[in-house]
Amino acid sequence: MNKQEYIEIIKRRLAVLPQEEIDEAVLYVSEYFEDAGNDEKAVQALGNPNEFADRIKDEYIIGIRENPKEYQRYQNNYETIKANHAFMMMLMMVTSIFLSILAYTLLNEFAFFFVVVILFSSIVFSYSKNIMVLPLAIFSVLIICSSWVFISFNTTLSSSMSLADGLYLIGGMLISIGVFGLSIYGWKNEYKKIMKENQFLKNLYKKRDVL
Amino acid sequence: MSFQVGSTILDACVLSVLRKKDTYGYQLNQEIKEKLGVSESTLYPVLRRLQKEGLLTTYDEAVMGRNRRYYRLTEKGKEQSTIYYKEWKEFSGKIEEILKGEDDHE
Repeated sequence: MNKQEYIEIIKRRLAVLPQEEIDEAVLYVSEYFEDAGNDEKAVQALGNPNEFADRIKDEYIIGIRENPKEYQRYQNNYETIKANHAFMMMLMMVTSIFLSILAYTLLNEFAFFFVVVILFSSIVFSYSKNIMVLPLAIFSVLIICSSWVFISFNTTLSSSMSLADGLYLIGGMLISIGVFGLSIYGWKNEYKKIMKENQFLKNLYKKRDVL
Repeated sequence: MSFQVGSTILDACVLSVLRKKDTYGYQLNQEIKEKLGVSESTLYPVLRRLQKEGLLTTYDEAVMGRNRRYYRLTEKGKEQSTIYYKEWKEFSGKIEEILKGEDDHE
């Protein structure tokens, strides 16, 4: 078994623990392999990865039971993360609507809009950690690009709602819906993990009183 | 060996080794294994727990292009290790008395 395999096994076995615990264990094992120099020696010393992980879990459970403050810390963390996410969702929703309106009204200020869209996309991209946001943003920008080009060469805009206007609106809507949807998707996985951690801790805490 | 190294004794040994100098995971394991014959696989949870109890802290150092995490005793850790030593002397003294009894055991 090599270092990567060992780490994969303990990561899976420890998945229910808080991320910090997992990261610390992985770091320890990783450095151990490096220092041992020899994979076989390292595996022999650390022992069966499943048992290694189980020992860490047991120790963690004991620690939580004896130290309610630790549980409190994770509870607070969880509440903070939830609040942050709710705020970000609100912010993105509002910004999306705002940008759509902006797109429609600033027909001739394309350069400004272009900058705003790129900025917004990069913020959302980095937040949702989802690479699919980027092509969507670029696609929307291209639609707006072509609308602008269309307007520039169209000197007789008689009706108030022209094709270009429509394209702008579609582009704006695409960004809003796409970005909003993908950020929910990106966040849902994180949310699931947090829920699992929290449930695990709640169960531990309940059992503590039974002891 | 009939006698087992319990968790408290292991804690005390780890603290004592760190009292001499800061060290990193692998080295600590080797030293404990050498002196106690304890399997290295049990050491990580002990280190993690001692860290959470505030008896030791960690710091990172770059070594040959990679990172190495060192363990260092805190003030609280030093105090605890002294307490362990005193308790051990008392405890082992009593056991020695009982086991020795009146015989020479030759």
